[in-house]
Amino acid sequence: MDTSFRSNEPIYLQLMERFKLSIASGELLPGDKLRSVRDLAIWAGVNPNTMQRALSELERDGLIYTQRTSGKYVTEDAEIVSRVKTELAEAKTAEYLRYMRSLGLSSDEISAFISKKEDENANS
Amino acid sequence: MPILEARSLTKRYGSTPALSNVSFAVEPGRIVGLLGPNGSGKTTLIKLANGLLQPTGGEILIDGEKPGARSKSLISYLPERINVPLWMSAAELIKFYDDFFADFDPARAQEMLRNLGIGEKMRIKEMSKGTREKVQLILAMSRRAKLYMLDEPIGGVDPATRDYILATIISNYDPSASVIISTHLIADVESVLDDALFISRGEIVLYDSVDHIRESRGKSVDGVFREVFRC
Amino acid sequence: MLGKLIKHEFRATGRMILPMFAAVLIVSVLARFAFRMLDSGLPIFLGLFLYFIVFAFFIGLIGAFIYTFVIMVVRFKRNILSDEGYLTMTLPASIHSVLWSKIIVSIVWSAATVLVVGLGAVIAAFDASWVYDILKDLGYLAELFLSIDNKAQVIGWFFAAIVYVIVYSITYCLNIYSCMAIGYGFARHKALLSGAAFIAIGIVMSWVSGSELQYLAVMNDQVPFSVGFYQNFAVMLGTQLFKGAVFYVITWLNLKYRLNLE
Repeated sequence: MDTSFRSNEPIYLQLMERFKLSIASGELLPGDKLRSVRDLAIWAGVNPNTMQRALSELERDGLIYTQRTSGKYVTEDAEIVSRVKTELAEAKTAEYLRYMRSLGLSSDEISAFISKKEDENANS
Repeated sequence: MPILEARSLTKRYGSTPALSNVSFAVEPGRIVGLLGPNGSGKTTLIKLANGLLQPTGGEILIDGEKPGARSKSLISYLPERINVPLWMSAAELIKFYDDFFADFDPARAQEMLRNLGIGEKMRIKEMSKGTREKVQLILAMSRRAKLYMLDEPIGGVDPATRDYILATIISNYDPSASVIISTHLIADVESVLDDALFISRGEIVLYDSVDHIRESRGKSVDGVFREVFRC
Repeated sequence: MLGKLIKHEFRATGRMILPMFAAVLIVSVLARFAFRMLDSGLPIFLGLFLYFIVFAFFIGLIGAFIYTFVIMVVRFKRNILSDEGYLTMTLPASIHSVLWSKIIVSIVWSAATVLVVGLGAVIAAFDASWVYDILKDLGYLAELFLSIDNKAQVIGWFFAAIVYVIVYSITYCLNIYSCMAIGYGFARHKALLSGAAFIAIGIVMSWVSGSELQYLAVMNDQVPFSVGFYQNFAVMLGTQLFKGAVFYVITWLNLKYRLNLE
């Protein structure tokens, strides 16, 4: 159970982000059944209403769907999953770029940093 | 109908005001943090709801009724003090609660005792202070009450127990019941709360949903608390 | 709910009272043997030991009443006026039920103490020749009873006396409770102020008793006892009921409106 949440943002938004990451990274696969709201709330250490809200929002976005009586499932629509992946990647990239720009680095320099780090990781 | 409602509730001890003209309502299915520094009136409010004190002015209603035998059957109250008879064993207390509270679930209490490794045969007086507090919490949370009033349930417990207590509150969640947690350790309970009720010097200074507080102020409830109660 | 409260009250106090009863009876049995051996020329240390048992026996008979009284007081303080009050006063029961459960159980234990002490005395002093004497006395009493014309009246007197003793005991119990309820409504010096309340109430009530006696004296000047028994009874019972009601209201009001558990 990870109870650390950023303090400046509603908790349900942060829960949504965690689910999106799980789905995009394949930790949760298309068609996987989600645990009950209560179990998920205990697992995340949050109020069941907050978890419910996060799941409802995800459902509205089409990331999960409810099958009557049997529970909630991860979407089987590959297009939605890839869209989420793109969204997350874009958001992270934008954040990274903002940070690097604030250090006064140019696009070329930033690219150089990335290539260098990738090489290091490949060699290790 | 709100489960708990205060209307112009006032309590004075002699001429010292403890609560001044407090009005609020708690709807079913909410987990509410009653947050304020020591001496702000949290315990006075809880005692009034439990009929342990009588208001000087205004009224407090539980499920639409003034405190009495019926309201006491609806509220599961965890006081700050050790309130159980010391000579009784955990098993005897379970029987006692089962006898007096129609909504008590002995199997659940036994399971929680096992989870926390507390022997049923052990007498309260043989237990450490921490274990006594756990037994009391187990008894309070093993009721299927309409309103749980937990006065400082996580003050002075270790982090593992705190997690267990919060997980118990979450797993106990019932959309028709409400939970009021009084505490000054806000960061620990924040993610469990629906609403935060800030009380200062006997007055309500903020009553809002945790999500809305975070959204509108860009700060955690804990952060807002530190700001409101800056010394 | 009152039944459950009484059941629990018996359990909580019985664990302290019953061992005392057992102790009284055991000492009575020992005292019985001690009495018999005392005059049979024993070594000095054994003689002293026997005297000690006899002494313990007499202390025990008086101590039993004090002990029961103390248990009654301590139980009320601990279960209502201290930390346990947080549980007792939040049980789904009215304050009336809580109060009556305490009163009833106190009265029953007091009556039981009388019986146990009586039994202890009989055990210590009992002699086989008594059986004959007692039967003879019973026969005499029966004869006496049969010889009187107004049997119904005597039975009536007997029950009137029992009712009076019960009401008197309840009033006495409430007298103690009301003083504690007053004293513990204060923030400090709770026990001391309970004592002060006891004295203050005692002064007021002695005036009530004085008026009662005066009234009885005047009344009995005018009517003979056999005719005036029920008039006397009514005045005495009425006085006790009045006192009891006052104590009850004081106790209830203080528990409901003044008590603030720490």
